[in-house]
This record gives sequence, structure tokens and C-alpha cells, in this order.
Amino acid sequence: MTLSDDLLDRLVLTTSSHSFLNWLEVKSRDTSPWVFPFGLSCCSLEHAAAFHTSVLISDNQSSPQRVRPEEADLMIFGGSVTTKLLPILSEIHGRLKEPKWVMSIGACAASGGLYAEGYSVLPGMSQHFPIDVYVPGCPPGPEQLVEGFSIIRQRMKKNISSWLLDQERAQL
Amino acid sequence: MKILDSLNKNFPTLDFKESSGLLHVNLDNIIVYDVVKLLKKDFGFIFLLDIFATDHLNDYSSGKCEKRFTVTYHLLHLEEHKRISVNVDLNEHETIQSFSELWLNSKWPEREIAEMFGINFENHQTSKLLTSDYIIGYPLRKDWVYQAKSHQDLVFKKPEFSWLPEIGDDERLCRQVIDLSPSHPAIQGTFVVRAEVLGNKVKRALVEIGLQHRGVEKISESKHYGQFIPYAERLNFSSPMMGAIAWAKTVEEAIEIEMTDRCQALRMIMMELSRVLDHSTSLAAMAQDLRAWDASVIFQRIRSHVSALFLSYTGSRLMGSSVRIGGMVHDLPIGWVTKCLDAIYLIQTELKEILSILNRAPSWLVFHGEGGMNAAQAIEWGFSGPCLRACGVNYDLRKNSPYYFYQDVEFEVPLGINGDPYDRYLVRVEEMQQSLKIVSQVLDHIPSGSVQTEDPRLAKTTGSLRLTSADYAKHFDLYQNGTKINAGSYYSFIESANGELGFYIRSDGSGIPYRTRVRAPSFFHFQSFCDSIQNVSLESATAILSSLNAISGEIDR
Ligand code: SF4
Repeated sequence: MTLSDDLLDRLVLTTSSHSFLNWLEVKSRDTSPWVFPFGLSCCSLEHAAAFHTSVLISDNQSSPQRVRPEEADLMIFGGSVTTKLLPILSEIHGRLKEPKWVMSIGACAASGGLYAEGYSVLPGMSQHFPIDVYVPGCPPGPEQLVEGFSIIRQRMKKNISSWLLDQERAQL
Repeated sequence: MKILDSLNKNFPTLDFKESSGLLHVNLDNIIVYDVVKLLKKDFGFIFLLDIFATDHLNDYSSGKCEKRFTVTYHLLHLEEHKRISVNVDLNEHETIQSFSELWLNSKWPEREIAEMFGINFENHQTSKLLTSDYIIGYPLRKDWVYQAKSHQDLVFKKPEFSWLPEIGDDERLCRQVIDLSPSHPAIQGTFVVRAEVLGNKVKRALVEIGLQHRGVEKISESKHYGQFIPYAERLNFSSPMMGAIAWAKTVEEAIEIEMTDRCQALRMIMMELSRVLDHSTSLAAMAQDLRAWDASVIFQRIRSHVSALFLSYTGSRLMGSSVRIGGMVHDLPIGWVTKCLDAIYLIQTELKEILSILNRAPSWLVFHGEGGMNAAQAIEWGFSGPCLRACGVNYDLRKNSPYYFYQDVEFEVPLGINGDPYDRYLVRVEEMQQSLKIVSQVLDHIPSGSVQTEDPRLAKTTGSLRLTSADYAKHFDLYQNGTKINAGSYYSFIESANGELGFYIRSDGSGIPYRTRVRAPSFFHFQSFCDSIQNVSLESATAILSSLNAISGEIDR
């Protein structure tokens, strides 16, 4: 069968490579997000265990495990954030690729948890940068992590991120 | 008793006492250095366990004692298994001599005291160890109120290398500074390591710790003894039950109650399972760092077998908080023993597989021989646990100062020779096998009975079937005021997965500790890291780091 011009037009889409790659990235973000894990304390153990016991791996086989923050769509941090650590974490958050998604694991990252009354652990991170999903628990088990992950992926699919909302709000 | 007599004979002017298994002596600030030096050189107290301080603000202001602070040195006699606590009273502006010439490992604890209490040591570093400059004042003083700068001012200062005049210009140009961090997305926690490398060799290294400093010791001063258990679990988070049991054991020894047989057996099972959990976590991280992926996955599988056991006993994979002062929260669920025996069989199979993969693997043997440590160095650094035994020192608290039923079970203490990462790996794997052996022996002979004591100071009610108002009053009192401990100081320890994990409690007679000190093994292990990676290749440095099993929850507390 020979292709008529008419059919060719319908089958082939011409576009610039840049916008094509961009489109591809947005389309594939939710199915294979690139994750930058920033494990701090107890919670990171459960995160690692979840990755290893193939609970998360089977869910998104195409995500590489070790990426630089500049390439990552999503930062996952779990554990207690102290005043000494905050500058490092903020710096890494600044280096993430835009738009940024952030998932926090555990009670400590969400509110200071057990240590909120102490002098060193920050009572929650939401003042410092926007967070998309809080996974509760001390530490949360793999099931909760999977649940949090699927919420993040829904948000990625719809291109909703707290960071984007903050940017829009700042422009208004 | 022998040591006490000879000490009293040799120091007639000093008053050595023994109470609750610990020798005590109070010394004057002027003579402490010389006496401790003699204790080390002539009396065999060669192991510096810990240095910490206490603030006696209440007694001081009411005139009960003349000096406000006490600095305490805990020394250990490795042959007689005796510990001595040397106390020195100090006032605010007095300085005390640093012990860094006698013991290498005294640097960090001394810096911590200076930072937390404002006590000055002669010629010690002034920079803060655990907290950032952001916190103003000395947090562990009793009259400290929270004072800090605003969050906007927070900056993280990376450690900087000092100028070395003896290096030539050519070499200086070739040397590079690299960050081995700030974040290490593996499972080992957080610290900053900077290394100056020449080619592939590390020339100098600096570490910055305290990124996970959570202020546990301060928080404990407002908690009942029972309420501290979750915090104790989160110190070494890869074997949570150990911390909780060590804390409960310290408090139980302080109030002098005897555990029921079943509770002791249960705790032994839990501790040994925790040891398997901890070793497999650390070896999984090590294998991952050294690119032995398949081995790492197997270690993670072992971990999940043990986690499943904890899940069915405590209801949580990791932090179950099922230890109580005076016992365990509940008995083993039905069918747990069978599950445990199955898991032991599975883990043993997995371990065999690991040994066949790793022991002869060239990529694993590469790390053989570099970064080794001899026994004398390890003792200088205050090593304990598998890291000490990998250097060939036969010291295991389960054998030397047995607690619970450890003298009744049969197990061996594996020893290494070179103290390098490979030996530490071998010791850990063998210890896992010995732990499984202990668990199966205890399961065979598990005593019957209750898992909680009937001691009226801890039991919730008076025992009658119908609750009376006395019961309610007692219940209210227990929960409101906590279990009281007689005034005094107490120290107890267990052989945790990383080494000697000890808790020091100073009580003023109330239900809340006056001062708590955690003797965390990782704190001392990690201190040696900078020195031990000098002139070592970068890959071996990674191996050393992961084989030390530095847990940030323990280092920073
Ligand atoms: S939330 Fe709990 S488990 Fe997680 S870091 Fe905090 S204390 Fe540890």
C-alpha cells in the first residue's frame, strides 16, 4: 500500500525536538518519576526497606535509584530535620528541577514528632518549603509509603504541585 | 574486691567506694589528671568509656554543695571487668585539663561538655560539636531557656582544612577537596565528610556531625522513666528493641526489682533478633556501597524476615515500643514460636548463600588489608562490640558481665585479626549465626509464667478483682508522678549490636531523671573515622565508613 499525502499528514506529527522532549517528560513523569531520596534517620530505614523488598520497585520499575538533585522530579525526605540540617536541605530543595514535588515521611518531618519539644528539631518543615504529601507514621510502613507515592503520582499526572501553587500565588 | 583494696592501699588519701557494681571516687580538680594517668598506667583501667558532666543547680543554690558542676569519667578495666567512675567537682569558671593526650577518644566528649555546659577544657577546640551556632547558651544547664537566632540566619559552615606548611606547592596544587556528602542517600544517616585527596588516596579528612542532634538528653529531663522508652528505641534505629531494653534494665536495676524468668528469656530473644536485624541492615548498606547488589538484596531479605517477626509480636515492623519498665507489654502471640523457628531456618539458608557469594568474591576481597586497626588503637579509640572484636580483642559483655540468662546459653564470640572492613564483615556474619543459635536455645527452654513483675511499685492495681478507690488513687499516682527512684546515680549497660550501650541516670528521688547520659557506641566509633582513612584509597574509605556502622541517631543523640 502506498501512503497518500493525506494519510501521512494524519500519521506524522512534525514538531521541534525540544518541545517533543518536553511533552514526553511531562507525559512520563507520573509513570517513572526520578526520585532524590534524602534519608535522615529512622524513617529512611523503612523507606529503604520498602524499596528493597520490591514493594515500590514493582510499582515504578523505571525509576533510577540514585540521581542528582538537579535531575530529580521528586524529593523524598524522611526523618527529623534539625536546625543544623535545615540549610543543607533548603539548598538541595533549591537545586531540584522545576516544577518541584516534595514528599515528607514520618511524624518528625511533618511536625517535629517526638522531638518537637526539644531545642533542636524543627516543628515541621512547611514554613521553609512547600510539601506535597505528608506520609504520617513513626515510622510509616511500606504500605503507607506506597499510598503516599500513588498520591504524588496522581498530582504529577495533573501537574499539581504545591511549589507551582506557591509560585502562582507569589505572582499575583 | 581485689582492685578496690589495692586502690585504697595505693591512694591512702583518697576514698574509693563500691556501690551497685561501680567503683566511685571523688577527686580534686588539681590531681585528677595525675590520678587517672596512674589508673591507666598502673592499675589497668585502659579503656575510657565516657566523659560527661552534670549540673547541680538546685543543690548549689540551696548551699548543699559547693561546686555547681561535676565532670565524670567512666573507665573500664578490661580484665577484671570493673568500671570506675571518677567524679570531679567544678565551678563555672574553672578549667579542667583535657585528657586528649591520654586517650584519643576523649576529644569529642570533651567538646560536647564544653558546648552543653560551658565548662572549659585546657587547650581544647572551641567550635561546637553537635548544635549549630544558632542556639545561644548551654542547652544542658538546668537554668537554660530556649534562645536562638532566627531561621533566616541559618547557614551551614562546611569544615575547612587548615593550612599545612610542610606540603610543597606542587603537591598542594594536586590535592583536591571532595565532599563525600552532604547527603548520603543510603540508610546510614547523615553527616558531612570532606576529604582532601591526592590521586586516589585520602590525605586528610574532616567530619561534621550533629545534623541529627535531637536533644534527647535534655528531653529526658522532663519525662517519666517509662516515657523515655520510645526515645531510647530511636537512638540506634536499626535495632530499636536494644535501646529500650537497655534503658528498662538500667531503671529496673536502680529500683532493684527482679524480672520474671519469662520476661528475661523474652528479652534475650528480642535482643538477639535485634542483633540480626542490625547486622543485616549494616551489611546491606555496606554491600550496597561496595556495589555488591545481590548480596545487599539478600541482607535486606534477612531484614524483612526479622521485621516480620517483630511485626507479629509488637504490631510494628520497627519501633514497637513493647518494652515496659518491669517487663514486656504482652506475651508472645500464639504461633509466634513456630514462625520464629521457620525464620531462623530461612535466615540460616540465606546466610549460607551470602557466604558463598561474598567470601571469595574478588571485588569484596579488595578491601582486605586497608584501613586495618590493631587492638591497642581500637582500645584507645574506645571501640566496643563487633568493631573491637574484629581487632582480636575478646570482649563481649554477654560473656564477661553476663546479664539475664546469657551464662546459661552456649555461644561463641567470633574474633577477627586485622580489624579491617573485611574482618568486621566476617565477625558480623558469624555473630548473626551465633545469635540465631542463642534464640533457638532460649526458645527450647522458654520458662513459663508472667512477663511482667508483680512488684507493687510497678503493678497497676493492688490485685483485687474489684477496683477500689485505693486502686484508682495508685493508678493516678503512677501515671501522674511516675515510678520513683531513690536519689543517687546508676549506670547499666548491655552488649548492643554496635557495642556497649549504657545509660547513666542521676536521680533526685522523683519520678523524672535529673540527668541522663547515653553512652552510645557509634559516637566513639565514628570519632576514629578521620584518622583511620588517612592514606587509604577512596573506595576503601567508603568500605571503612560503612563497616563502622555509624548510626547518626546514636552519634548525635
Ligand atoms: S517520625 Fe519517628 S521514625 Fe521517623 S524519624 Fe521521627 S522519630 Fe524516627
